[in-house]
Amino acid sequence: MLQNLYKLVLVPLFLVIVGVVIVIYTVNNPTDGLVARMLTYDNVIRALREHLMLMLVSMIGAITVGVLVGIMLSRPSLYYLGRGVENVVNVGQTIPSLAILALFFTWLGLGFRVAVFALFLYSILPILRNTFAGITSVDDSIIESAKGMGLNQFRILTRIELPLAFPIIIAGIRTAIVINVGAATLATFIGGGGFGDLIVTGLSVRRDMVIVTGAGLAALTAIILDYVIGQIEIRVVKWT
Amino acid sequence: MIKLDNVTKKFPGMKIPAVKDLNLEVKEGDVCVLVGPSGCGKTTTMKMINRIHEPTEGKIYIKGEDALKMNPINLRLDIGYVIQEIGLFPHMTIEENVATVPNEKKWPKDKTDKKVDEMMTLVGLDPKIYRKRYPSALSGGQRQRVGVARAMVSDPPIMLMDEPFGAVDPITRARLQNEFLRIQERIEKTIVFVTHDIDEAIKMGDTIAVMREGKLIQHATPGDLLSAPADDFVADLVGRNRSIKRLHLIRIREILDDVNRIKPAPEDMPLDDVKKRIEDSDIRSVIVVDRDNKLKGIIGVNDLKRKTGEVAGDYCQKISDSVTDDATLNDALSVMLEMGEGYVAVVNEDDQYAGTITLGDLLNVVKEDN
Amino acid sequence: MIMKRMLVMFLMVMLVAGSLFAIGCEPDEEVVEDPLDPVDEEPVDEEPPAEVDPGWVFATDHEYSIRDDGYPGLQELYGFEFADVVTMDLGITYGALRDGDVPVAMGFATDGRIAAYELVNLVDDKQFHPVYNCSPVVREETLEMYPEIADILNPIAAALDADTMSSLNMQVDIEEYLPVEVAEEWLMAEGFIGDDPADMGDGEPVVVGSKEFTEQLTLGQIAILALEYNGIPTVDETGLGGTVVVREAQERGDVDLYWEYTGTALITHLGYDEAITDPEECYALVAEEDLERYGLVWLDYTPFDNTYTIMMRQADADELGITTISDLAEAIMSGVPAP
Ligand SMILES: Nc1ncnc2c1ncn2[C@@H]1O[C@H](COP(=O)(O)OP(=O)(O)O)[C@@H](O)[C@H]1O
Ligand SMILES: [Mg+2]
Repeated sequence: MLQNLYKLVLVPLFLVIVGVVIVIYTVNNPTDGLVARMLTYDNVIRALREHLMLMLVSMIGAITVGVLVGIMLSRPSLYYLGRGVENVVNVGQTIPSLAILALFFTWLGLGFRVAVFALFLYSILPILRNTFAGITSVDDSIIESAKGMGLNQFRILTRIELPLAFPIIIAGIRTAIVINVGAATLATFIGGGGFGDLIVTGLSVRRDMVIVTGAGLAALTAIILDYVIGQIEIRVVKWT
Repeated sequence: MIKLDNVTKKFPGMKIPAVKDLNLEVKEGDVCVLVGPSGCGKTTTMKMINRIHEPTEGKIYIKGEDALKMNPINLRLDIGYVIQEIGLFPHMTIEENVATVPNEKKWPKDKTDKKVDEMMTLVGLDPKIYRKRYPSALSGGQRQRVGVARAMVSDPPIMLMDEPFGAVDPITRARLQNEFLRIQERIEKTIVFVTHDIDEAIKMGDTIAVMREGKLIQHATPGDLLSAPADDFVADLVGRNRSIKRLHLIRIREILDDVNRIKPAPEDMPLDDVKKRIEDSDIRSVIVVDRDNKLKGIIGVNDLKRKTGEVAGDYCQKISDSVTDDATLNDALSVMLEMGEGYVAVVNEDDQYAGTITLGDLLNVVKEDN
Repeated sequence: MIMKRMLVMFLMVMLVAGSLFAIGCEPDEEVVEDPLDPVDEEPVDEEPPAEVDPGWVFATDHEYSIRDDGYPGLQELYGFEFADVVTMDLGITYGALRDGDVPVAMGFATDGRIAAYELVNLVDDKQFHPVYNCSPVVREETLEMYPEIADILNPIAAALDADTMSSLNMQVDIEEYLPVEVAEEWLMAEGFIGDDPADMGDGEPVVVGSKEFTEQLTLGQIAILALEYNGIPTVDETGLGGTVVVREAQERGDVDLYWEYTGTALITHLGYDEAITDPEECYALVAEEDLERYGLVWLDYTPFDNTYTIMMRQADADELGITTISDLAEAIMSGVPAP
């Protein structure tokens, strides 16, 4: 129990405190006036809020759509379409995130919503691919014995296929988070805000403290999210 | 109980049907073994019974009802199903695996729990130890047992078993077969059992259906199949040494009373008496048992030369393997060959010494037969 | 187990202590003195900002949003504040303004898109923005090897006035010619190069760099073409990166020549806090300091001044009667709704 508490709550809490300490320290000990102007509580909180919103909105959308479409494509009747989509996705993944952002900027303009949309599309890819791969990789004999025992299609999906694909889907989500947190710092180029504001502004005037703070907080956010999801996975998947 | 009436199955894109014009009837409580070379349509035939495959032509009746008109989900819930790959759900505990069908049928929890315990005990897995384990923590043989328990838990009148003991080593397989037969004696299910191993067919079947290239060649009792094969193919299948195959058909306990039964020596028997008993024995050795009549070991002539003590217990050597009295003579032969000895000790259900079978006894059986 | 818990508790204690220490730390003296520091004082907030229409959003690049000679200084001098500031990539503020995403944006005075997108530069009536005239900056050693570089590039720089630079930029940004094509055509038309190139020398080539935006790429090509026409071998390292990257490359000796702006050098490279608004004064100071401190020679500067500019859509500016930044400040602070 204590072990559980320690792993599930204390570690993320520890990381959050690390972040808070970094912020408090840098805000109170700026190296010069420029840094002081960039690193205010207001600016950091705003960047954090925007960054979390960018990530959460796009990730929730990506998980919902990625998993649902992945499930649909894994149905036997759509299997070959799924294989095709998987290839497209693999190619899509190789497009740099900045290029995606630039592409969406020319189509849709700028701002938070466009950034979210680009991040959403970019994060769907690993989730969709892993959902599809996870479900289709479930051993045929397992599906057959389930079918033979009288489980219908829906029960097979919910009781057998999804639980077995779960670790792979989670791996996809974790990949997406890592991609997302990096890509989210690019949103600042199209006026989407987030920690990218700190990083790029810091870069433009060569203030390492601002750059490191922005990048550090972005990385911490990713680490915390990834850790929590990893812990959930360990708690749910007991059978390996 | 199960009747296949002129059933044909042609898979889309295949030139020749996988199963052609097949007529087969399985009586209630019988084990019908489908046997034949790989690809002859055994699995396909079996899977048409629970409608994993739908027949292209023909009818299937279960308890006189047209199976093709029944709801396939309900049909399957009442047919136990074991496949060669076992198909245990790796993400569920043994308990959850076994409870699959009860959960689908929405049984109350206590009823399910009781039944799961009962089934696990029946197949020889201690529920206290194995309930919460995951399949990955089990040996091949244990998984097969879980597969069988899972198929039988809701007491389905019919069981379909596709090479259920295919994935384990020969010794474990023989043990599983024997246990299964012992269970079947009690539960008397109607079973369709698929194998490509004629020895297993002869051992397990009340009737054997020999298939070849999608057609049924002969459906007969094992005895009839051995004595009167319908054609060269069947004769070839059962093989030249049919008399040895008969060893599959005979249980040890059926002959145990007739063979020259060597009396065992209690472990506290004085040395002189032991010597005497060995001289009387035709294998020039004597089995030693403990006070509960459980097997303790064996003493040969040479063992006595070592002078290590006063009573039988001090001289005996451990016996590496024994057989149960419900095993077949063929099993007894296997164990003898395995140990490199001319005898094997037989124990009963309660693990008590029941007798000894020798190579000579087996020879007599085969000779009598011819 | 116990060890682990003790470790966790130890870390927690350290963290709490660390936080307290961090809070307790006095801010640097420099910060206290900085009049623009919003941590100590929030001068703008003192004026009632309640009336500012939330539609007054300002699009700017990251650098301008934070520099003393950027938005913070601008709002200080003109006494106004936007409802919100959106930072984005340098090149897209023009498009954002054209597309109506924002009512006001910052840009560079000589950018070709200002005319093409029907935008207007507001007059900097209080002369806030420093001057950004442009000079080829050469390493001393390079100039010693090829003293004729000055004679080649000085007349070219003299010919680059604001209209010329704007038009060259427009040809690249809007008409989508390559910088090298635009550079060559202009040099030809002006007679700086012709059909009779000098024989190529076999000396050490001159590495020509540039930053990565249009004007810099074109200027870089102009330098390359002119040098090569006069027989000086070059290596094309244009489009190297941002200001800092190119400058550091030059300080290391990896780049021999690139065009730099006087205002940028003053603030960013030489570390002055105060901008200078007189072109000649700014150039003189920069040229002297850079030669002394870094061994970099500033050749003659261009008449064009690629300074920061505050832009609106022409139609909006006309409608609201805004021509100067003061007009804009007045409109915002008096509660005029954003267009
Ligand atoms: N799902 C299927 N689709 C197409 N052909 C199949 C399918 N299942 C089995 N077959 C073919 O039907 C024939 C009989 O197969 P099967 O019943 O599995 O043989 P057995 O179980 O006797 O080894 C084989 O030729 C096999 O290739
Ligand atoms: Mg088969």
